[in-house]
Amino acid sequence: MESQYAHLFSVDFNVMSDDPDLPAFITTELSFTFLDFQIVEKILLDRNFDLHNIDEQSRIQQCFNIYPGMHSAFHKLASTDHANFEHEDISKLYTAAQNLGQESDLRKSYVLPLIEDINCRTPLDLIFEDNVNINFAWQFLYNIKDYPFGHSGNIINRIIPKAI
Amino acid sequence: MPDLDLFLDSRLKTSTHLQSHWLAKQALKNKSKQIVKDHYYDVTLGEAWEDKNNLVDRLFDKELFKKPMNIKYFDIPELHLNTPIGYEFWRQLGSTPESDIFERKVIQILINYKWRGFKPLIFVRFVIPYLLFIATFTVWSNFFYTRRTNGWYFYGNLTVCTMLLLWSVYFIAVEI
Repeated sequence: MESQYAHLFSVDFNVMSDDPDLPAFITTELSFTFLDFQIVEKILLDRNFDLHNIDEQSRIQQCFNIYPGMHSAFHKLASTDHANFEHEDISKLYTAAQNLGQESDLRKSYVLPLIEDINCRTPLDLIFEDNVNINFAWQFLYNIKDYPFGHSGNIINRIIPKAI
Repeated sequence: MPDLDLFLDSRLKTSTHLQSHWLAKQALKNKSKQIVKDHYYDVTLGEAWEDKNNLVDRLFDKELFKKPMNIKYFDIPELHLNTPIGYEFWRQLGSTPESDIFERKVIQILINYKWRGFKPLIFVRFVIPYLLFIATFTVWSNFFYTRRTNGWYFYGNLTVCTMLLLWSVYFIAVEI
Protein backbone atom coordinates (compact mmCIF):
# COMPACT_ATOMS: atom_id res chain seq x y z
CA MET A 1 0.00 0.00 0.00
CA GLU A 2 1.36 3.41 -0.91
CA SER A 3 2.19 5.96 1.73
CA GLN A 4 -0.55 8.45 2.53
CA TYR A 5 1.97 11.13 3.44
CA ALA A 6 1.73 13.00 0.10
CA HIS A 7 -2.06 13.16 0.36
CA LEU A 8 -1.95 14.84 3.75
CA PHE A 9 -1.30 18.21 2.19
CA SER A 10 -4.41 18.08 0.04
CA VAL A 11 -6.65 17.74 3.08
CA ASP A 12 -8.20 20.75 4.77
CA PHE A 13 -8.05 20.03 8.49
CA ASN A 14 -10.35 22.91 9.29
CA VAL A 15 -13.61 21.00 9.39
CA MET A 16 -16.94 22.78 9.47
CA SER A 17 -19.57 21.47 11.85
CA ASP A 18 -22.57 19.77 10.22
CA ASP A 19 -24.87 20.99 12.94
CA PRO A 20 -26.85 24.00 11.58
CA ASP A 21 -27.61 25.15 15.13
CA LEU A 22 -23.97 25.20 16.05
CA PRO A 23 -21.95 26.42 13.10
CA ALA A 24 -18.34 26.07 14.02
CA PHE A 25 -14.98 25.08 12.74
CA ILE A 26 -12.86 22.37 14.23
CA THR A 27 -9.25 23.28 13.76
CA THR A 28 -6.65 20.65 14.30
CA GLU A 29 -2.99 21.26 14.74
CA LEU A 30 -0.69 18.44 13.84
CA SER A 31 2.78 17.69 15.02
CA PHE A 32 4.95 14.99 13.47
CA THR A 33 7.81 14.47 11.08
CA PHE A 34 7.98 12.50 7.87
CA LEU A 35 10.00 9.82 9.65
CA ASP A 36 7.44 9.57 12.46
CA PHE A 37 4.64 9.21 9.94
CA GLN A 38 6.51 6.49 8.09
CA ILE A 39 7.05 4.58 11.31
CA VAL A 40 3.39 4.80 12.24
CA GLU A 41 2.38 3.60 8.80
CA LYS A 42 4.72 0.66 9.26
CA ILE A 43 3.10 -0.12 12.61
CA LEU A 44 -0.38 0.04 11.12
CA LEU A 45 0.21 -1.74 7.85
CA ASP A 46 3.10 -4.14 8.30
CA ARG A 47 2.21 -7.11 10.47
CA ASN A 48 5.86 -8.15 10.65
CA PHE A 49 7.21 -4.80 11.75
CA ASP A 50 8.86 -5.07 15.14
CA LEU A 51 8.48 -2.04 17.38
CA HIS A 52 11.74 -2.89 19.07
CA ASN A 53 13.54 -1.82 15.89
CA ILE A 54 12.82 1.78 16.84
CA ASP A 55 15.22 3.39 19.27
CA GLU A 56 13.87 4.53 22.61
CA GLN A 57 14.11 8.27 21.88
CA SER A 58 12.03 7.86 18.72
CA ARG A 59 9.50 5.78 20.58
CA ILE A 60 9.08 8.51 23.20
CA GLN A 61 8.95 11.12 20.45
CA GLN A 62 6.00 9.19 18.99
CA CYS A 63 4.06 9.56 22.22
CA PHE A 64 4.04 13.36 21.84
CA ASN A 65 3.03 13.43 18.15
CA ILE A 66 -0.40 14.42 16.92
CA TYR A 67 -1.41 12.80 13.65
CA PRO A 68 -4.33 13.55 11.32
CA GLY A 69 -7.64 13.09 13.07
CA MET A 70 -5.82 14.28 16.21
CA HIS A 71 -4.67 10.74 16.78
CA SER A 72 -1.78 10.11 19.09
CA ALA A 73 0.51 7.12 18.65
CA PHE A 74 -1.50 5.43 21.39
CA HIS A 75 -4.65 5.81 19.26
CA LYS A 76 -2.81 4.15 16.42
CA LEU A 77 -1.66 1.27 18.62
CA ALA A 78 -5.12 0.86 20.12
CA SER A 79 -6.82 0.73 16.74
CA THR A 80 -4.68 -1.94 15.13
CA ASP A 81 -4.00 -5.55 15.88
CA HIS A 82 -1.09 -5.49 13.45
CA ALA A 83 1.37 -3.96 15.89
CA ASN A 84 3.95 -6.48 16.90
CA PHE A 85 4.43 -5.46 20.50
CA GLU A 86 3.83 -6.69 24.01
CA HIS A 87 1.53 -4.79 26.29
CA GLU A 88 4.34 -4.23 28.77
CA ASP A 89 5.92 -1.99 26.11
CA ILE A 90 3.40 0.69 27.06
CA SER A 91 4.80 0.60 30.59
CA LYS A 92 8.32 0.85 29.21
CA LEU A 93 7.36 3.97 27.28
CA TYR A 94 5.96 5.63 30.37
CA THR A 95 9.01 4.69 32.41
CA ALA A 96 11.36 5.90 29.69
CA ALA A 97 9.57 9.25 29.49
CA GLN A 98 9.88 9.64 33.26
CA ASN A 99 13.56 8.76 33.23
CA LEU A 100 14.15 11.12 30.32
CA GLY A 101 12.94 13.97 32.52
CA GLN A 102 15.10 12.92 35.44
CA GLU A 103 18.21 12.79 33.27
CA SER A 104 17.69 16.27 31.84
CA ASP A 105 19.11 19.38 33.47
CA LEU A 106 15.66 20.47 34.57
CA ARG A 107 15.15 17.26 36.58
CA LYS A 108 11.46 17.37 35.75
CA SER A 109 9.15 14.41 35.43
CA TYR A 110 7.70 14.24 31.95
CA VAL A 111 4.18 12.96 31.67
CA LEU A 112 2.89 11.40 28.49
CA PRO A 113 -0.30 13.01 27.20
CA LEU A 114 -3.55 11.12 26.86
CA ILE A 115 -5.61 13.09 24.34
CA GLU A 116 -8.94 12.86 22.59
CA ASP A 117 -9.05 12.55 18.82
CA ILE A 118 -11.30 14.60 16.55
CA ASN A 119 -14.23 12.35 17.50
CA CYS A 120 -13.54 12.86 21.21
CA ARG A 121 -12.21 9.34 21.72
CA THR A 122 -9.18 8.50 23.79
CA PRO A 123 -7.08 5.39 23.12
CA LEU A 124 -8.95 3.79 26.03
CA ASP A 125 -12.27 4.46 24.31
CA LEU A 126 -10.95 2.70 21.23
CA ILE A 127 -9.87 -0.29 23.30
CA PHE A 128 -13.29 -0.55 24.96
CA GLU A 129 -15.18 -0.04 21.68
CA ASP A 130 -13.78 -3.05 19.92
CA ASN A 131 -12.56 -6.34 21.30
CA VAL A 132 -11.58 -5.28 24.77
CA ASN A 133 -7.98 -6.06 25.57
CA ILE A 134 -7.89 -5.86 29.35
CA ASN A 135 -4.08 -5.99 29.54
CA PHE A 136 -3.69 -3.13 27.09
CA ALA A 137 -6.24 -0.98 28.94
CA TRP A 138 -4.71 -1.80 32.31
CA GLN A 139 -1.24 -0.76 31.09
CA PHE A 140 -2.60 2.73 30.43
CA LEU A 141 -4.44 3.01 33.72
CA TYR A 142 -1.56 1.58 35.73
CA ASN A 143 0.91 4.04 34.26
CA ILE A 144 -1.18 7.17 34.69
CA LYS A 145 -2.25 6.32 38.23
CA ASP A 146 0.59 8.35 39.73
CA TYR A 147 0.31 11.20 37.27
CA PRO A 148 -0.47 14.59 38.74
CA PHE A 149 -3.91 16.01 39.48
CA GLY A 150 -5.89 16.98 36.39
CA HIS A 151 -3.96 14.84 33.93
CA SER A 152 -6.77 12.99 32.19
CA GLY A 153 -9.58 12.32 34.68
CA ASN A 154 -12.12 14.35 32.72
CA ILE A 155 -11.64 12.29 29.54
CA ILE A 156 -11.29 8.81 31.03
CA ASN A 157 -14.26 9.02 33.42
CA ARG A 158 -16.58 7.49 30.80
CA ILE A 159 -14.52 4.30 30.55
CA ILE A 160 -14.57 3.64 34.32
CA PRO A 161 -18.10 2.11 34.23
CA LYS A 162 -17.03 -0.07 31.30
CA ALA A 163 -13.87 -1.11 33.14
CA ILE A 164 -15.83 -2.15 36.24
CA MET B 1 -11.10 -5.13 35.22
CA PRO B 2 -8.86 -6.54 37.96
CA ASP B 3 -7.09 -3.90 40.06
CA LEU B 4 -9.32 -1.09 38.81
CA ASP B 5 -9.99 -0.36 42.47
CA LEU B 6 -6.27 0.29 42.90
CA PHE B 7 -6.40 2.83 40.09
CA LEU B 8 -9.45 4.58 41.53
CA ASP B 9 -7.83 4.87 44.97
CA SER B 10 -4.67 6.25 43.41
CA ARG B 11 -6.59 9.10 41.79
CA LEU B 12 -7.20 10.76 45.14
CA LYS B 13 -4.71 13.50 44.39
CA THR B 14 -3.25 16.42 46.21
CA SER B 15 -3.36 19.62 44.21
CA THR B 16 -0.35 21.92 44.49
CA HIS B 17 -2.88 24.75 44.70
CA LEU B 18 -4.09 23.45 48.07
CA GLN B 19 -0.70 22.74 49.58
CA SER B 20 -0.65 25.97 51.58
CA HIS B 21 0.83 25.82 55.04
CA TRP B 22 -2.34 27.23 56.64
CA LEU B 23 -4.38 24.38 55.15
CA ALA B 24 -2.00 21.74 56.48
CA LYS B 25 -3.59 21.96 59.94
CA GLN B 26 -7.34 22.28 60.25
CA ALA B 27 -10.25 20.80 62.20
CA LEU B 28 -13.21 19.14 60.48
CA LYS B 29 -16.68 20.21 61.46
CA ASN B 30 -18.07 17.74 64.01
CA LYS B 31 -21.53 17.86 62.45
CA SER B 32 -20.54 16.60 59.02
CA LYS B 33 -17.36 14.60 59.48
CA GLN B 34 -17.44 10.91 58.69
CA ILE B 35 -15.05 8.01 59.10
CA VAL B 36 -13.65 5.58 56.56
CA LYS B 37 -10.74 3.16 57.04
CA ASP B 38 -10.02 4.70 60.46
CA HIS B 39 -9.64 8.16 58.95
CA TYR B 40 -11.93 11.06 59.65
CA TYR B 41 -12.91 12.95 56.53
CA ASP B 42 -15.41 15.29 54.99
CA VAL B 43 -16.38 15.81 51.37
CA THR B 44 -17.27 18.86 49.36
CA LEU B 45 -17.63 19.60 45.68
CA GLY B 46 -15.00 21.95 44.37
CA GLU B 47 -13.49 23.47 41.29
CA ALA B 48 -10.04 22.48 40.14
CA TRP B 49 -8.95 25.93 41.26
CA GLU B 50 -11.04 26.31 44.38
CA ASP B 51 -11.17 29.46 46.49
CA LYS B 52 -9.32 28.48 49.66
CA ASN B 53 -11.41 30.67 51.95
CA ASN B 54 -14.66 29.14 50.66
CA LEU B 55 -13.20 25.68 51.09
CA VAL B 56 -12.21 26.38 54.69
CA ASP B 57 -15.68 27.77 55.44
CA ARG B 58 -17.36 24.70 54.01
CA LEU B 59 -15.20 22.01 55.59
CA PHE B 60 -13.51 23.29 58.71
CA ASP B 61 -14.41 24.62 62.12
CA LYS B 62 -12.08 27.45 63.09
CA GLU B 63 -12.95 27.13 66.78
CA LEU B 64 -11.78 23.55 67.22
CA PHE B 65 -8.26 22.29 67.90
CA LYS B 66 -6.40 21.99 64.60
CA LYS B 67 -4.78 18.75 63.52
CA PRO B 68 -2.67 17.74 60.50
CA MET B 69 -4.90 17.55 57.45
CA ASN B 70 -4.65 16.26 53.87
CA ILE B 71 -6.86 17.89 51.26
CA LYS B 72 -7.28 15.73 48.18
CA TYR B 73 -9.25 15.85 44.98
CA PHE B 74 -10.86 12.78 43.49
CA ASP B 75 -9.52 13.30 40.00
CA ILE B 76 -12.26 11.49 38.06
CA PRO B 77 -15.19 13.86 37.72
CA GLU B 78 -18.87 13.09 37.17
CA LEU B 79 -18.98 9.67 38.82
CA HIS B 80 -20.84 11.20 41.77
CA LEU B 81 -23.35 13.09 39.60
CA ASN B 82 -26.71 12.12 38.12
CA THR B 83 -25.37 12.22 34.57
CA PRO B 84 -25.27 9.34 32.05
CA ILE B 85 -21.70 8.58 33.14
CA GLY B 86 -22.70 8.71 36.82
CA TYR B 87 -25.76 6.49 36.29
CA GLU B 88 -23.71 3.96 34.35
CA PHE B 89 -21.01 3.94 37.03
CA TRP B 90 -23.50 3.15 39.81
CA ARG B 91 -25.31 0.59 37.67
CA GLN B 92 -22.07 -1.26 36.97
CA LEU B 93 -20.92 -0.92 40.57
CA GLY B 94 -24.19 -2.45 41.71
CA SER B 95 -23.78 -5.50 39.52
CA THR B 96 -20.03 -6.11 39.65
CA PRO B 97 -18.91 -9.50 40.92
CA GLU B 98 -15.61 -7.92 42.09
CA SER B 99 -16.50 -7.32 45.73
CA ASP B 100 -12.94 -6.18 46.53
CA ILE B 101 -13.74 -2.85 44.97
CA PHE B 102 -15.93 -2.02 47.98
CA GLU B 103 -12.92 -2.32 50.26
CA ARG B 104 -11.38 0.72 48.62
CA LYS B 105 -11.38 4.05 50.38
CA VAL B 106 -12.54 6.08 47.41
CA ILE B 107 -15.49 3.79 46.67
CA GLN B 108 -16.59 3.92 50.32
CA ILE B 109 -16.33 7.71 50.25
CA LEU B 110 -18.41 7.88 47.05
CA ILE B 111 -21.05 5.58 48.54
CA ASN B 112 -21.18 7.63 51.75
CA TYR B 113 -21.48 10.80 49.67
CA LYS B 114 -24.42 9.39 47.71
CA TRP B 115 -26.01 7.96 50.86
CA ARG B 116 -25.97 11.41 52.44
CA GLY B 117 -28.26 12.57 49.64
CA PHE B 118 -30.37 9.41 49.41
CA LYS B 119 -31.01 8.89 53.12
CA PRO B 120 -33.60 11.69 53.54
CA LEU B 121 -35.25 10.69 50.26
CA ILE B 122 -35.58 7.07 51.40
CA PHE B 123 -37.20 8.26 54.63
CA VAL B 124 -39.62 10.51 52.76
CA ARG B 125 -40.47 8.07 49.96
CA PHE B 126 -40.38 4.71 51.76
CA VAL B 127 -40.07 4.73 55.57
CA ILE B 128 -42.64 7.41 56.38
CA PRO B 129 -45.27 6.09 53.89
CA TYR B 130 -44.70 2.58 55.23
CA LEU B 131 -45.21 3.71 58.83
CA LEU B 132 -48.40 5.52 57.79
CA PHE B 133 -49.54 2.39 55.95
CA ILE B 134 -48.92 0.25 59.04
CA ALA B 135 -50.73 2.77 61.23
CA THR B 136 -53.70 2.83 58.86
CA PHE B 137 -53.80 -0.96 58.76
CA THR B 138 -53.66 -1.15 62.58
CA VAL B 139 -56.54 1.31 62.89
CA TRP B 140 -58.53 -0.61 60.29
CA SER B 141 -57.96 -4.06 61.81
CA ASN B 142 -58.58 -2.96 65.43
CA PHE B 143 -61.43 -0.49 65.07
CA PHE B 144 -63.20 -0.79 61.76
CA TYR B 145 -62.98 -4.37 60.55
CA THR B 146 -64.97 -6.03 63.36
CA ARG B 147 -67.57 -3.21 63.46
CA ARG B 148 -67.83 -2.57 59.76
CA THR B 149 -71.56 -3.39 59.65
CA ASN B 150 -72.46 -1.00 62.52
CA GLY B 151 -73.71 2.49 61.59
CA TRP B 152 -71.06 5.01 60.53
CA TYR B 153 -68.33 2.37 60.93
CA PHE B 154 -69.50 1.12 57.53
CA TYR B 155 -68.44 4.39 55.89
CA GLY B 156 -65.32 4.59 58.06
CA ASN B 157 -64.38 1.09 56.94
CA LEU B 158 -64.85 2.09 53.30
CA THR B 159 -62.69 5.21 53.78
CA VAL B 160 -59.87 3.35 55.53
CA CYS B 161 -59.97 0.52 52.97
CA THR B 162 -59.67 3.13 50.21
CA MET B 163 -56.67 4.61 52.03
CA LEU B 164 -55.06 1.16 52.29
CA LEU B 165 -55.70 0.60 48.60
CA LEU B 166 -54.12 3.97 47.74
CA TRP B 167 -51.06 3.16 49.87
CA SER B 168 -50.73 -0.17 48.05
CA VAL B 169 -50.95 1.58 44.68
CA TYR B 170 -48.30 4.06 45.88
CA PHE B 171 -45.90 1.26 46.92
CA ILE B 172 -46.38 -0.55 43.60
CA ALA B 173 -45.82 2.73 41.72
CA VAL B 174 -42.55 3.58 43.51
CA GLU B 175 -41.28 0.05 42.96
CA ILE B 176 -41.99 0.29 39.24
